[in-house]
Amino acid sequence: MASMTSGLAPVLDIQNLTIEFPGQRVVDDVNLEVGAGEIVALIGESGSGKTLTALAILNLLPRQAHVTEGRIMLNHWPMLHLTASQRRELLGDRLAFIPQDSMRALNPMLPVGDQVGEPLVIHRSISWEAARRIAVNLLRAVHLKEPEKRIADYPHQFSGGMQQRAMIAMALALEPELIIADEPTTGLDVTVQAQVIRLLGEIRDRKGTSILFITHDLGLVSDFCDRVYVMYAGKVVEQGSVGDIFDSPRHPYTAALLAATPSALERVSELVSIAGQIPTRGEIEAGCVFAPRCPRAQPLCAEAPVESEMSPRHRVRCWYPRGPIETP
Amino acid sequence: MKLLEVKNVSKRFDARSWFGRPGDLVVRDVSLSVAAGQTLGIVGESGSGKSTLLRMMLRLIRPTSGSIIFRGQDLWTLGGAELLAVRREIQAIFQDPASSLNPRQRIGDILLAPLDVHRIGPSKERRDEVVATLLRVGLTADYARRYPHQLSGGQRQRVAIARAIIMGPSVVLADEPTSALDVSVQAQILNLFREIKRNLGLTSVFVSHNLGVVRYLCDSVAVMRQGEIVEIGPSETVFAAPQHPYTRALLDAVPDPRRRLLSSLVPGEG
Repeated sequence: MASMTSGLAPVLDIQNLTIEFPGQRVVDDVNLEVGAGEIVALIGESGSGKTLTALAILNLLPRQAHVTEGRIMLNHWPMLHLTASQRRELLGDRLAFIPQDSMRALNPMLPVGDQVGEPLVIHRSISWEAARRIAVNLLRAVHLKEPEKRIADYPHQFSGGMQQRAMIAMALALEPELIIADEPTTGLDVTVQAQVIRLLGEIRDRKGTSILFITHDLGLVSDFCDRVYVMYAGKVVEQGSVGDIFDSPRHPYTAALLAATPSALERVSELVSIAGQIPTRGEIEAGCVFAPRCPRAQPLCAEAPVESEMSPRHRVRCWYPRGPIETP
Repeated sequence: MKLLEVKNVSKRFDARSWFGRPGDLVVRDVSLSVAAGQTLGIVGESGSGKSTLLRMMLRLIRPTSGSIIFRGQDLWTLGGAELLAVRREIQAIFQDPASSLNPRQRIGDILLAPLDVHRIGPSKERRDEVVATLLRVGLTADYARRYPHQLSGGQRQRVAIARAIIMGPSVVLADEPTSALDVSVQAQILNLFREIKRNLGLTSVFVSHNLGVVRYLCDSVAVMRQGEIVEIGPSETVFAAPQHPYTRALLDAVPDPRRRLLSSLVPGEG
């Protein structure tokens, strides 16, 4: 799928993005691209900066956080330099966001159908009546049963999986080029999660929508994404195709994460845990961010590693990357 | 030897006062047993009744019918000193250590509390026991002075494990103890749990929605759906050759990085 992007300008292009809280750098020099029709995963544990990166694209950063460097292009729109009204025009229309907690994202006081149809009324100036008709089709497209009856329901009458589908339907309303999904299946049961993920895949296949998928779940990434960025403590430490990342992880952190993940499909006699803890804000030292926990760390790791290319589009930020076929 | 036994247990949360009809059975006619030294995993999706079952085994909620039997005694027929003695032997670890540890108590006091309640040893020895237990779960003595909010999620869960084992229990019942943790920290806690279980010869029941975690830790596994056990057996049998269609559906749906690797080994795929 990665070949779909070659030669074409990316839909989303983030360059040298740096985000700081007062005195603390939380996202450091992140470069990230999402091509047309591509599903790209941004994976990381808590505090990695993955969600802040996504919020920066949407201009939804918390008040104390500021982008101090870098640029974010959505097609030709400079996302960091838009006026409020320009941004309102883009959000929903060209760019949609599926948040983690759909219960909190949906308005409890409005029927679901109105919320799914609202982007059409605002951006396309159609009548509420027509918007509700389209909402029925959108809800049907996300495999909600009996959408004609359900559009009058309020969010609390929906299960968690149905609410998440309603959010996806809302995101689809204006057929955006890019959907940013922040842990869209956290809190859902695995069988429902599988349905939601399948649905996102279908949307990409049918409409060619690009998806930036933010998650901490390695399994989800390997099941349905094309390319992966692995973040740790504010930095992208490794990026590559799903095959690169899962079949030959070169950064010690990526390999360690894989070795630390329990499996239901295979007997694992011993999980290899990563010593120490994820650094909290302000604890991040100069040099390689993973060095304090890294089994391969050497004196040189006190200096920040430069990014090196293992193979085309497979890049690693490590002085001592692993070999291509080492087992974790 | 059966240490802990669940016999024909059902649970109905009464909704009569609201709708004039009794609520549905959350757990229906479940029977299982855990042999001494064994670990049983209970898996299922939300609403399957797995946590309710665990809470009944902890004697936190009363079964509507059936009995929970520990060392041959029905937990609900016990009272007074007998019950106190059993409470010492059955300890719990909960999902979210941020809410199961008192934010206004220092870690040392949290760990001392059960020793005080059960009047174990003179107070000087109690303090030594607290330090020894902190070391056993991979923390250091100076954690005794800290408050829960000064600890990371993984460290808090270590404290929860310390609180469960400080009484020298024979059974530890855990409800999703690692689901609030990041993967790299989860593996530390799972390995710690395994090590402690082995060293202390603990019997345990481990409720989780994460099938990988259960396969890693448990000798046997029960799969619950809508209040019933649909499949139960040794972990390796259930995971390698699931018999019930629901178990198969769960395994098919679970996201797993190893699926790529496994499917690439099948000729004609990948």
